[in-house]
Amino acid sequence: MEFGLTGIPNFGKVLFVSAGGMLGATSMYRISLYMFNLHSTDIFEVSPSFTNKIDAHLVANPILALELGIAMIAIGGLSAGALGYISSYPAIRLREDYLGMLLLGSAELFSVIAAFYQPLVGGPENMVAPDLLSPFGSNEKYVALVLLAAFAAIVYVYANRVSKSPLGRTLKAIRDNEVASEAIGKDNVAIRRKMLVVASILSGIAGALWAIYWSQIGALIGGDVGSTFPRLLYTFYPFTIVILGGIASNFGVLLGAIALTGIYIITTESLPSLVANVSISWVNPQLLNNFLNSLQYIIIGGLLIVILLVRPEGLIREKPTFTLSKKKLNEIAESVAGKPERRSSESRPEPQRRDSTTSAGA
Amino acid sequence: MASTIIYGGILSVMCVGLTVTYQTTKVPNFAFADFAVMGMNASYFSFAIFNLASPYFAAPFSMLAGGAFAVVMYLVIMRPMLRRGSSIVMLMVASLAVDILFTGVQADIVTIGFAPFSKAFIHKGFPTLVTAAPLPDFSAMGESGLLYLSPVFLIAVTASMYLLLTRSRFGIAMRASIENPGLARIAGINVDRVYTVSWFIAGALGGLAGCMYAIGDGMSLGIQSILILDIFAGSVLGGLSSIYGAVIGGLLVSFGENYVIGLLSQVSTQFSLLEVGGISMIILIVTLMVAPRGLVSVNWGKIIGRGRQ
Repeated sequence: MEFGLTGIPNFGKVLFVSAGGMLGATSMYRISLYMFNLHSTDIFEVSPSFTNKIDAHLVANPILALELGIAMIAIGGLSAGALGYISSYPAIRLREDYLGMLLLGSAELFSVIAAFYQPLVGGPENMVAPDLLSPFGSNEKYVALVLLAAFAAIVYVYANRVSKSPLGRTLKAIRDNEVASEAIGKDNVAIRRKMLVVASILSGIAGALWAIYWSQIGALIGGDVGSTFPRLLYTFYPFTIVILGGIASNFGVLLGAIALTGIYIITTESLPSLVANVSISWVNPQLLNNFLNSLQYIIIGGLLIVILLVRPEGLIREKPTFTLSKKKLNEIAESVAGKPERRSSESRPEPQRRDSTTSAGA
Repeated sequence: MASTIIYGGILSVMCVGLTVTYQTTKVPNFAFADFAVMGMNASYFSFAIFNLASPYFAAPFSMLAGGAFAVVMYLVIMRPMLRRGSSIVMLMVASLAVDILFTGVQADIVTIGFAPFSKAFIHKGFPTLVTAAPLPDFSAMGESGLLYLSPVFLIAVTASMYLLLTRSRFGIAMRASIENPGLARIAGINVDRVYTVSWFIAGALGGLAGCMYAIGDGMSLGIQSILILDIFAGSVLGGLSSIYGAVIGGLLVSFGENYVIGLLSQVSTQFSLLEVGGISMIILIVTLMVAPRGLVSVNWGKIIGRGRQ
């Protein structure tokens, strides 16, 4: 929604994702610590042992896990939204390229701060968060899957309704021609800010969900190695997904997400394990491992370049939105076709017609 | 202080390069640091293969490598997309894609390419494949040679750009193509060729900086992701529309990173850790908020005048 509809290049998307994840996780951790009366001078150092204790509690008390989970998601979403609001202040008036750089810069800054500012997520040491899904024991993965799928479905429906709504049309108008939309009277700045915040909230929730699943939050500098939310991946993958799928098409995004996630999994997990089992004598295994790590980047970067050169509209092209369903439109068309049109054309003032010929003539 | 000067020179050269790519394509080039890294690669390889007496002799190879990479990127990606009328955002994404692709390829280059040459690296052996020790530098008067040569390079680059842009026919064609490509075309300038050469120059500058960096700091995997932040900060601080602004911006960012952090760390140890890219991002953010077009766009006369009253 953010990029395709409004045209905001949120190169700092990882900022919001990680903010949501980290803040959500930390607050939940602290809350649970407080509740269970566990103290320590350095809570992060001993986090693994604490979480084990907490996990035991949670297994016994699943309702608590649910509450904590909801709280975490809420905190994650809200804090990310707040960050979105703050960063929109200076940025939203900037032109697209400057905006992109600003968001990227903020994301980097945040990751640096997070990596070194102890109270946030334990600085250079990773933090292990209590595993909220432990009540489900060995079914964890399936539960997480269901949760995520449900969330994705909700977001999808929401996004679809937005793009069909007047708001959606406004967003596209802003994206395509800022001057025109302002001339009509739409408040560009406010709307863009709103969309940024909404998208941030969603990202934050996503981050929190990820944290729940992964139950380990770290912000180590080291490029992509140490951090749970490596910069390039979390900003770049969404972009690639959107572009691959089709910029303004939600369904396309769905397709793109499936495709890309598939690629991701294949290159990071399936291939390495495949290779590990097959040992080729003349190939140094460590070399091969390095190869596979870099393969991910090469495929993604290459894929995006190819897409941009060959089919930048993505898999699903942007069609003019039908704000009413086709059936209704047909009904209206039929009912109008028979009526005499004199009365309506008299009452309607001329300026309403805005086809391209008139503007070219003017 | 020494590292400020050294890094300042390196960074400024890169900022100039980035500014050139921006002025021609109107898009901040995320992949610019990759030009520098290609330069680093070239400097290591050429140093080892040709058994050069001093790593500085590798500079021409680095410039060639950087320039070649830049031209390829321009011809294969930027130009087609520009012709198609792609938006600024898409071009940015494209440059980001190149960066990602390069990150992967670079990892392979380092993995395969550097291993055979590990014997050629005299200093400190060749510990892991992740970092390479700096190329051996000469030292004069107790300081590394780069301390003297970095400013020399910077001045040389700045002077050359100035002369190129003001005295040479091609330079004037460059300026015309940047300011108003349409009119330049009408005047008979092959804007496309001008842009291509401009990108070569920008890439060569990146490569040169890469060579300098290899001498000063060595090379490590992923360095381009860290460098690009400083480059953006410096270029934006100076003003993306001005090459001389880029020079100033680069120097200031380097100063900020090395010196200010040093000061702050005496206040609190937590601050000293911000050095890793934190300062440059703060500079970038503040600049974009206060004066997005950089220092050169600020009306200094007005401010100084007001102060005088």
